[in-house]
Amino acid sequence: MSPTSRRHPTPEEARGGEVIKGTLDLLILRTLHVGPMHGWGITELIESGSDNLLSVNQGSLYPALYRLVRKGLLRSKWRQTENNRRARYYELTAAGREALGHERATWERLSRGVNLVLAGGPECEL
Amino acid sequence: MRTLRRLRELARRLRGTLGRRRLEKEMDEELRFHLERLAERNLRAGMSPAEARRRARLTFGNLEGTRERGRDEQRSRHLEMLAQDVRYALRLLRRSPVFTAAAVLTLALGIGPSTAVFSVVDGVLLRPLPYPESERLVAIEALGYKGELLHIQEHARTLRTEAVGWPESFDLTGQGDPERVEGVRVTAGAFHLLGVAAALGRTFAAGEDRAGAEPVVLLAHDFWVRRFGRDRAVLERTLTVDGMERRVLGVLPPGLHHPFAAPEVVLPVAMNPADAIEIWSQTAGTLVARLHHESSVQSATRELASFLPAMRASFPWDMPPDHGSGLTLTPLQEFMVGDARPGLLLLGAAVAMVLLIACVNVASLLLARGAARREEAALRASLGATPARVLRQHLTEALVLAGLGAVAGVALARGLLALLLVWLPAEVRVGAIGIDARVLGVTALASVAAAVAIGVLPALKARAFALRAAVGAGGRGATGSGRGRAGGLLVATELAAATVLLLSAGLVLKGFAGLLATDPGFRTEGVVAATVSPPLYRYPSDAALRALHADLIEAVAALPAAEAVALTDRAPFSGRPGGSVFVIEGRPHPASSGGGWPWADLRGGVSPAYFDLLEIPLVAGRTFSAADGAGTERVAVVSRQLAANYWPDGDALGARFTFPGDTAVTEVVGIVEDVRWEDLTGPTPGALYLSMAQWVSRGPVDLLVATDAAPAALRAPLRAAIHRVDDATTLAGVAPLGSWVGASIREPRFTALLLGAFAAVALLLGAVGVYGVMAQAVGQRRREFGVRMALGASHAGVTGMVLREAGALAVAGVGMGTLAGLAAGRLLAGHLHGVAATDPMVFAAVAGSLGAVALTAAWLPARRAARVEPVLALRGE
Repeated sequence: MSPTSRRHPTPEEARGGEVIKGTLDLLILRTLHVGPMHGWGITELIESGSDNLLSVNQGSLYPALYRLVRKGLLRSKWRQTENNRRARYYELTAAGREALGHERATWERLSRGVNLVLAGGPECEL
Repeated sequence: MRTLRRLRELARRLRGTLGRRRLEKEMDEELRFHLERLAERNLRAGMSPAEARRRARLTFGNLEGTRERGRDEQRSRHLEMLAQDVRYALRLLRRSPVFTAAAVLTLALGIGPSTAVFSVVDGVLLRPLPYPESERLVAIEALGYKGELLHIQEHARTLRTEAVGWPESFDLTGQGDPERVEGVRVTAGAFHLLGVAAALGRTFAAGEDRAGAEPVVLLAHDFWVRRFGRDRAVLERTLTVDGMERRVLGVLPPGLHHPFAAPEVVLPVAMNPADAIEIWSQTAGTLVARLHHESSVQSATRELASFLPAMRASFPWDMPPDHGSGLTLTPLQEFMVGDARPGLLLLGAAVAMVLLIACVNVASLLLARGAARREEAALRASLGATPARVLRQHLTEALVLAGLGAVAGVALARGLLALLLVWLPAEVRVGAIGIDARVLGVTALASVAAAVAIGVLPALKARAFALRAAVGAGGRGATGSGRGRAGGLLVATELAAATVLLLSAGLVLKGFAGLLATDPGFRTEGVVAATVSPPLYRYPSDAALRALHADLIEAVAALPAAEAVALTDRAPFSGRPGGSVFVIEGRPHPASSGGGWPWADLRGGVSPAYFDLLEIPLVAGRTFSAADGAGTERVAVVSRQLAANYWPDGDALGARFTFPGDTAVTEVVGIVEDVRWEDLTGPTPGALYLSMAQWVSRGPVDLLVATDAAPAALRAPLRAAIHRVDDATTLAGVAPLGSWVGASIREPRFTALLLGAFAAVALLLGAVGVYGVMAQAVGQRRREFGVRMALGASHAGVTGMVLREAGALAVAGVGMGTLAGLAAGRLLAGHLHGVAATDPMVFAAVAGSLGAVALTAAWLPARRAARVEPVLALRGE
């Protein structure tokens, strides 16, 4: 058997949904709410946390992280990983914690609205 | 909170921009870490290592794109662009080292003097005195008797008053060589009033300024270091000051200057309130007061004025009715440095002018360079540089130049300041003067302003050009005449500024030359002067002191080098002026008549040889002889001016007068010519000379020795001779009498020399500016000259044309400057010493020389214009 046929599908291949633009910041903030983590760890946590329904495009993850650092919502530190590798860890700042609350509320409003529309209220007969 | 966050973001962006390399490295490492984890996961999923890596890279996507976007997120575009502009500017400047050196040097010549002079102005005029709430400190003018001080201390509700005496010298004896130190007496609460605490031990306590209190002394920090090597045990010692043992109470903090001049020891004023004669005849010094919080200068002045009648009535003798009428409260700082203000402001204006000229010069250099860089600008514009970007690039270049100029200027300022501090009259220095953060901050601001000044015109030109290039009108056709006009305007401005500066310097220098040429009225050649301070405590009686004076004259006269010797209690320009009122016999007493009191600006005791030695001519009567001693009738010699003031009918000889509070009658026996006393300008002082043997002076005396020997060679024998008479006598200031006179014009000399130097710089820069602009204009108009010559213009014609243009600029510039100079004349009042602010000779000389310099500077470019080969020029570049 060729090695390829034995492997598990990667999340991308499992056709997990691409993270909607604009929600990545919220997901990052939420993930880091648990504790400091490096970029790879954030990817893994988002993927496993969403039961592999969501995948993170690395090409947007790092620019987003840098942007959040620039905005003062995150700060970064170089640390040892559990496997003694050097990695850049990100953690929430006080402002980041505050922003998480806002973003979450905004998201909840948005998704409730979207769900309501999709569920089809009385005025919305399809 | 929000501002803080913004600041933090800015700092992060700055770090992002500056730490570019580190940032890249970190990002690479982070992305590699991610890739490796991806590959690791693929491996665990069972792929081959190569396959795992390949798929990881595939999954990751466009690595370079991620890096690019990451970079964008981390850096500020603006700062990035600025860094690029700065690098570009530096590269450009490196490529033309001569231009860069000229511009930086010119700016340094502008910024250096400005920085140095500003640091002096700041230290003297702008910075508050180094005392807490120093704005509440005032000096009380026109009062100062001990009795007045005591009265104010007892009754005043609006302020607290203490006294600071005049600088005095004290003899230290008892340990090692006797030493003469500078000191001052203050009242007990003076330090507390100022807010000065002792660095070691304590300052005076209440009551320590009363007669009969324990004798105590405070040491200045420098003196403590020099004499006691920072020994803290000094507090357990005593110091023998003027023969009296005094307990050392404490050491004053370092750097304590005003209002104490720079004392080495500080003694308490001794006052005995019960002794009416003492407290109403002796002054305590300058009255220094601290206003209470609820009172103002006005209310305090009103209160003090209300004390005047009571105080006047307390004197045991009649005081002139106008005594105290000049009562004024002056802020202490102004009181101390007020005299220096006009001079410093004048110098400040002068350096500002030099800076302006330097900026104009560099601006025209940049303008000329901008013209030469047309090709490059066109290229940049066609490659898509926006006009805004071009503008910014040029301003950045100016900023970089100004920055380099500032660095060189500050280095120059350090040297200049050292010179300034040597020349600066000592009494003006109230605090630390130096190039500190505050001065550097102002220099930085000035440099930014200079950058804008030098960069804005060339930058606008370049932007306009970029705009034209953008619409396709660039290239050779766009040699507008506008740039030439701008250059001409700059040169005219520069010449105008140089004219103002040269006019001011010319007038002040002429005034100073007049001062130097002023005849003081006495011989200064071949006379050595020295101040002799005998230990007065050893000579309690007048008779003993009189004998000492005679012995001193005899001992010095015995020196082979001494041709003649005279003694006086105050030689001309000794810095110890002293006048006196007197009462003329046979006239209504001024106290009762209400008339003015006769006043002699100078009351000096002199020995018989004095007038002959100083070659002060006798006008009438006789001078003193050895016979005019104790026990004979008291005699006086008056100066021609004093005689004219009070005996206008020529009846001075034989007139008799007394001094208030003294019954001895003195007769005028001679009239001598006037001499200058304290200064070389102003009204001629009226002098009253007394015989030293009849009016014994209890204080230092000045020795005048007529000699061919150099002062340096005379010092040791002089000291030995004096020590043979009394080994505790000290000798100071052994110098030609001429140098004593010279010391009186220190401040005018300071101002005149500096103004002259700045004017020379302005002249040099002006010449360079004219040359630069004319050379540039000629270079640009090669084709035009070629055409003219091809059409038959002669060499002389072309040369003349260029010179005429330069001449027009010079006339415009010098004309504007002359008008400004006439207006600025008011600033010079007080520095001219008799020269009119519109002195036609100075104006003519300045206009003539600047015109000549401008034409000379235009001569070289004009000759170059005449040498243009018509054919080559027409054929084009």
